[in-house]
Amino acid sequence: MTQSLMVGMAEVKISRHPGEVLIALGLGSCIGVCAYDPKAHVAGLAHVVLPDSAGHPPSPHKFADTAIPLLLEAMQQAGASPSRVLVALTGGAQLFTFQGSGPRLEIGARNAVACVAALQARRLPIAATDLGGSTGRTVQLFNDGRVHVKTIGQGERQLVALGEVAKP
Amino acid sequence: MPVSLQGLNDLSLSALHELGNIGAGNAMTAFASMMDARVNMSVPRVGVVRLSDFAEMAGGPESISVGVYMPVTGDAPGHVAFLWPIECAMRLADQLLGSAPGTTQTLGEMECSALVEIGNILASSYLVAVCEMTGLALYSSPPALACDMTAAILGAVASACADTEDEALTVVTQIGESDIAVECYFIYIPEPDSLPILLRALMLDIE
Repeated sequence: MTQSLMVGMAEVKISRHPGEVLIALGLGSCIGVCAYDPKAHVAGLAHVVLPDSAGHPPSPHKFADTAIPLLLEAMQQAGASPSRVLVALTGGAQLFTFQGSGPRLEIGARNAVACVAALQARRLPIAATDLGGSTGRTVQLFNDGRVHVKTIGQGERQLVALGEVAKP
Repeated sequence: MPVSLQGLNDLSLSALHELGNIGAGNAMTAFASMMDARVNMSVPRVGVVRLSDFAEMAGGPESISVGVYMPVTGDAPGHVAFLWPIECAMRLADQLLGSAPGTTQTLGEMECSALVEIGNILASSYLVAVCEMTGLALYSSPPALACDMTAAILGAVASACADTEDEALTVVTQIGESDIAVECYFIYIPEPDSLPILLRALMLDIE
């Protein structure tokens, strides 16, 4: 029996038990940062809404630059070791198409860049990505490290099994 | 001083409800004259909800919706969005394009363009009513359209209003003639700095 843990906008959640699955429903321009320690079997998912916390009211789980350190911290508290953690990134789409105007709301792309930068700053390897495009995604991170991505057009598929990726 | 929707007192809230009601009424009148039809409108349900909870109201996070979004500029900047469940959007497209009910099965360029246009008209009429009530000058910007999971659309709207606390003043209206019912969700999100401006214009104290 799988136990679903919903990760809403600007939330970070951790899974420590087999059979659990972390789910972020309908990521648009948001990013689902899926992190996994294959040895400790600790999974963590951050639902990042915006790239940069500078100049905004405090809401640390909302922004890439502050949410990713908090995700890592929460995983460590749950028994994960940063040196073993692998990451998969999904989301960052541009849903809205503006008619006859230049690029606007490129928040998806900026979110993706900010997440990659925050992960690289902590030397966390990115094992797989499914970023950009113009469609929303639902992401599921199972407690064994499997990452599934679902879109309206293409149904559900496995992006990566983080439990089976050799750490570079 | 910025004010959050959740921190409002009952009087302010009911004033905003009234604003939502009148705006939606004005928008539906415009819709009716454009469709050259009598349009029945249910009494709008108005409330303040978190955007992340709103998906539950509008059919569920993974349900498919069509969203039209436009930024509002002027004296009290904010954001306006419409949401139609996909089957309603298709019925609406049939009506707008003069097709027999059930003709639209997918949303092509023509259908999307018609929906963006109706969204533009609805939002503009809504804003006109808000302007008349408050005496403020508000302008809608060119709209954008998306057809996707409801939660994804709402997330994209939420990221556009970075500084708000994901709360929205929403107006849910049901419009339709006889058997063609079209459910339409209207979302109006004033920027935090705009709320006191709106309330002051309605001659209310913000405390």
